Amino acid sequence: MIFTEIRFVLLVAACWLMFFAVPVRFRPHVLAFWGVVFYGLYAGNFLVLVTTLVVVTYLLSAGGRLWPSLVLLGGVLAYYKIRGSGPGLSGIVGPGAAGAAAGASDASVVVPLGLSFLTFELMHFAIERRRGREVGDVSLTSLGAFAFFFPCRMAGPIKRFPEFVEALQGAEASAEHLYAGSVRIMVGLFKKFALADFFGTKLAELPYATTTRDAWAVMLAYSLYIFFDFSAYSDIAIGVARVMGITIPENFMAPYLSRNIQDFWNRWHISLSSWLRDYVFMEMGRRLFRKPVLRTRPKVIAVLSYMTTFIVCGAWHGLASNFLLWGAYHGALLSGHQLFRGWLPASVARSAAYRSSIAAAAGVGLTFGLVTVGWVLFAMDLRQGLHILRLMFHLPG
Amino acid sequence: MGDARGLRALRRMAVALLCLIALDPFVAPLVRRLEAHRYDGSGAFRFARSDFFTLGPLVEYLRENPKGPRPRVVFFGDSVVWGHLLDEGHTVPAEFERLEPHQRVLNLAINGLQGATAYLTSKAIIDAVDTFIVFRTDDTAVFTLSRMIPVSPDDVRRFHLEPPDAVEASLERLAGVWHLYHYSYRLQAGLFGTSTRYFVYTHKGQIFDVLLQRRPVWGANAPTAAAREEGVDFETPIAAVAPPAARVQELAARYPLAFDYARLVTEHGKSAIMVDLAGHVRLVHPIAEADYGDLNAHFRPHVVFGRMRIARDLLGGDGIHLTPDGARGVAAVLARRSGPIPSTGRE
Repeated sequence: MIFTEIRFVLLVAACWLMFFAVPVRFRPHVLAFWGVVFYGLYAGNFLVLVTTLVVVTYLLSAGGRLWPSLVLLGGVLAYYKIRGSGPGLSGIVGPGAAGAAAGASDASVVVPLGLSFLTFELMHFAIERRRGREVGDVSLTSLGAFAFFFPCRMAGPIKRFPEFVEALQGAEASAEHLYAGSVRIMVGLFKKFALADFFGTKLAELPYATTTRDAWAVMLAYSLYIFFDFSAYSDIAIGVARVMGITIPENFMAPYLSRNIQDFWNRWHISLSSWLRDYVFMEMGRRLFRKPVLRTRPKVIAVLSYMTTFIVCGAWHGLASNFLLWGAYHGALLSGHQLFRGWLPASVARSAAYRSSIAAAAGVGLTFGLVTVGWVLFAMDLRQGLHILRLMFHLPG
Repeated sequence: MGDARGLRALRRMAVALLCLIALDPFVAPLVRRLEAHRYDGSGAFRFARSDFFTLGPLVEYLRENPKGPRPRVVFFGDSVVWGHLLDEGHTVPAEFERLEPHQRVLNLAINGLQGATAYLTSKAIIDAVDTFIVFRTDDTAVFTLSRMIPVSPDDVRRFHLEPPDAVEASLERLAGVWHLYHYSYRLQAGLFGTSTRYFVYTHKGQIFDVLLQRRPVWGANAPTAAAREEGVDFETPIAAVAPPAARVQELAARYPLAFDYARLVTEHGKSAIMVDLAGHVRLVHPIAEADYGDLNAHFRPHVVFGRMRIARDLLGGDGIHLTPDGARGVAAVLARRSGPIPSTGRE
C-alpha cells in the first residue's frame, strides 16, 4: 500500500517542511511540485497525460469554453473506463470500490491513478469558472496544487477548488494538527488492515456459497469490507492533509446507520454524491423543468433526475453492465423513496409511531439490507450476481 | 503552538513515542524466541494459510541461523505436499519427521507452488538446509518473489520476475533501526504462522482459548499407525557409470531448471531428492525414463531423481491429494531413500 511505504512518508515530511518554510503565496507551488513528484513516482507513465488534462482544462476554462473541456475530460475517463473496467477475474472487483475508482484493474488496460477523482475535480473547476464562481487565486499553479494534491490522488475525497485554496492559504503548522492528522491516519490504517482485510478474507468463500445463509454471510462481509476499505483511504487522505494543516471534506458519516436511502447517499462517499447532486441532478432537474410538458410533473422530473444521476454514478465506477445496473438500482430506490414520501400522509409522517426509535431501527435495517443487495450488482459480473441473488432470496434457477 | 490543545497534543505524541522507544528493545529477542520455537522446535511446521506470507520471514530466519539444533530437511511442493485435506500433523513432511526425529523438517510447500520458486528459495537458504525433498512441478516462479526473498538480478531476468524495489528496500534498511517496524512481518509469522488478520479470522471463534493455551497451537504430534509403504512405488534408476560430458550437456539443455537445482545442491555439499509424481497435473516437464540413470549417476551421491507412483486407494476423492495413509506411505519411502544412494535404486 502506497500510504505505508517509507518513500511516501518521506515525501509527506519533505512536503510539510517546504510547505511551512515558504511564504504563503508559494504554497501552491510547493503542493503542485510534490504532487507531480508523487504522481511521477507512482504513476509515471501517465504523468504527461494528467498534466496535459490539467493544463488544457485551465486554458479552455480561461477562454470561457466549458463544453470542450467537459467533452475532453469525459472522453478520457470513458476511454479508460471502457478499456479498464469490469469485475475482477474472480468475479469480485479486485481492490474494492476505492481501487475501482482509483484506477486499479486487472483488465488489459491500466487506468491512470485516481483518474476518476481527478476528472471530476477538473470538471468542477471548469464548471464553476464558467459560472463565474471562482474564489481566490485562479492560477495554473493553484489548479496544479488542487489537481495533484497527493493525499487525495489515490481514492479521493473529491475536493472543491474554492474551499481547497482557502484551506491551503489558512493552513498552520501546529502540534494539534500533527496529532489529529496522525490519529486519523492510524484509524485509517486500522480500518484497512484490521477490519477491511479481515472481512475481505470472507469474500474468498464466494465461489463456494451454496445456501442462502452462505450468500448472505458473504454479502454482509462485503458490505463491511467495502465500507472499511473505502473509508480507510479517505481517513488516511484526510489525516495526511490534516498533518499539513489542510482540512478536506469528510467522505463518510456512518452510512450504515442511515434511516433511508436518501440519508444513505448523504453519508456514503459524500464528496461524490454532492458532486453528482450539484452537477448532474440539479442540472438535470433544471433542464427538465424548462420543458413545458414536464413542468407540472415534478415526480417525473425527480425520477428521471435520480435515474440519470445514478446511472452516471455507476458509470463513474466503471463502464460495465454491472456498475450501470447498480447505479440504476440506486436510482430506482431513490425514486421510490421520493414517491413514497410524497404519497405518505402528513398525519402518518408526524405520528409518534413513525418517529419512534423502533421505526428508525427498522429503517436502518431495511436500508442496510437494500444497500447490501445492491452490492451484489456492484461486486461481480451479472451472471454470478444473479446466482448470488437467487441464493440470497431462495429463488429457483 | 502554546495553547492548551497544542500542549495536550504534544504530550500525547511524546507519550506515544516514549512507549514505542521503551518497547523496541524487547522486539528482537521476542521475535528470535518465537521463531526458534516455530521453525526449529518440535511441532510440525507448514505455512498456515498455504500462502507466501511466512516465506520471507522464514527465509530471513534461516539465513540468520544457518545452523539449527538439528539437521534441517525442507520439503517443496504444491498442495499435495502441503497437505490439502490433511491436518498439519499428518502431512508427508510431518510423517517424515516422525520417522526421522533427529532431523527438523520444514514443510515449505504451498498450493500451486511453482518449480522455480522452490529453486530460488532453495538458493536463498542453501547454507541453512541439509536436505531438500522437492516434488517437481513447473519451471516458473511467482512474479513478486524478488520482493519476498533475495533473488539475484540474473535470476530476476531469467524467470521474468518483478524487479525488486531497490529504493524502497534501501529505505527499509535505514528504517530498520526501529525494530518494531523491521520485524513486523517476522513477528506475525513467528507468533501466528500467518498474518494477524488471517489468524484472527480463522480463529475468531476461539481466539481467547487459543491465546491462553499453554502448549503451542501449531503442530500436532499425535502418534499415528505404522507407515504403509505398499502402494508407493519410487523408482530411482542409476547408470553404472557416470555419463560423458556431451550427455551431461544434453541433459542440462533438456531439463535446465532441474539440472541447475541439482548442481546448486551438489556444489554446496547438500542432499536432495527430486520427485516426479507420475501423472500429476502440475508436472510440466517430467524426466524421461531413459534419462534418470544418467542424471543420478552424474549427481551421485548428492542428488537423486526419481519417479513416484501412488496407488489410487492412497489418494483422496479427487485422485490428486493424499489420504493420511498415503502421506504415511510416501513419507516412509522417502525416509528410507534419504540415506546414501546405493548402486541400484529401485524401491
